[in-house]
Amino acid sequence: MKKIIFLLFLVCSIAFGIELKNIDDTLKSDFKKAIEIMNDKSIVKEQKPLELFKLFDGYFDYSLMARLSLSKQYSMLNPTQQDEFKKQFVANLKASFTQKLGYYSDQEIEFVKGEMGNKNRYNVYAVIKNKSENYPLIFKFHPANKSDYLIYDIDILGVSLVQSYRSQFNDLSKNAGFDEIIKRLQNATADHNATVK
Amino acid sequence: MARIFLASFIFLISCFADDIDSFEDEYATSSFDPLSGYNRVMTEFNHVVYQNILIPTFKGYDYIMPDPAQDAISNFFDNIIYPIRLVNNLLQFKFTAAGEETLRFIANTIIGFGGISDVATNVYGLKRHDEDFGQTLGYWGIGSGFPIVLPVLGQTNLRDLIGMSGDFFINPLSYTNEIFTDDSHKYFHLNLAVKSWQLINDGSKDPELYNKLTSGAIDLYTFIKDGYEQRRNAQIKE
Repeated sequence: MKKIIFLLFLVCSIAFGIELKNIDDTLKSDFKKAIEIMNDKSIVKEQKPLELFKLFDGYFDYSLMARLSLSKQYSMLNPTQQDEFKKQFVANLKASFTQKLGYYSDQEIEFVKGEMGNKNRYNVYAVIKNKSENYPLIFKFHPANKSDYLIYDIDILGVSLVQSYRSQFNDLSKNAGFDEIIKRLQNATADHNATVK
Repeated sequence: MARIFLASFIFLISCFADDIDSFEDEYATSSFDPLSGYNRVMTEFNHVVYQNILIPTFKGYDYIMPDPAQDAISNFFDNIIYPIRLVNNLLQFKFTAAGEETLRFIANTIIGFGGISDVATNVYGLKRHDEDFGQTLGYWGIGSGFPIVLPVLGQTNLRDLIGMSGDFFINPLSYTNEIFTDDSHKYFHLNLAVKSWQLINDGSKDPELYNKLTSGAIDLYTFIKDGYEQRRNAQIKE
């Protein structure tokens, strides 16, 4: 019984999402907090990505992102393999984000607008600003339950994060098995971590 | 009681499990890649060339050339190749953008000392509207064809390769030998030298850009190919 209650609590706490009407305000507020974290000299550089993950983790649907990235191959994996893949995928995603953050720490992110893509999708448009140029960014939300929305993909300069993973896994899975995919993911994560500035 | 909790748990799980098929359409892409074998080899070749020749060259140039000079040279080349942006904006019926590009050219040429200063952006707030013939062909509804990796120049596709040829003829830098020498045949290599200078100067502004973009790729060729196609499609839609 305790286990079931714990599991219920766990599921609720992982994927709380944002109510549709609150998405714009939440992101506007969190973008500001993110800039404050980036500019806060009292936080050491290595700690900054962790602080940002604390801010955004609650409404990222990492599980769905992992599933979409592996596409149809995902359903062919057994539950243990699926868990392993999700773990390595999230580690890779976060390592990639941390590495990129190190390169572009002088940038700011600004909310532009939010609008329904279709009845089950909500897109938040933002721009990453630096000294000379603005880069468009789209946060794509889907309804995780009746009222709460979670992010399932991000477009940067028109390049979808999920699509990028998906293409790579699709090509890779034609010639390689699950173990090779995990190995490549681990290597890529190590590569990211080795080049963090 | 345990059953109620179990039922609630299953209900919650089913709520979170969005219909996965509804996402599949969003990510449908072409996998037509008849040159994939060659492309993979050329991507690896280019990777070695970038790591051992181009990136060290960018770094060396960046070391000896002051940042303001790099910016000035970059502005100068950008201003000179205005005909590419003008023609392709016009061919895509983007008349406002073509007009703004013309104003930019006039401002930068006259007030910006022949284009070395980008006063159009910094003083007059006139935006640059990058368009090339590959984008024009895409705008006209021509598909990308299939991916091709060029030696040194890197990832492209059949449509953009044809587009490059179109841009070649309206790029003033392609006529440097005819403008500045008496014997254009003898000094044909001058065009290549000038274009190489442009490439090195632009590359030196962020010598590690290639590594920043590609580090952590799970499959280098597919990563670059997919990123290129997605980015080009977004540029065509803009």
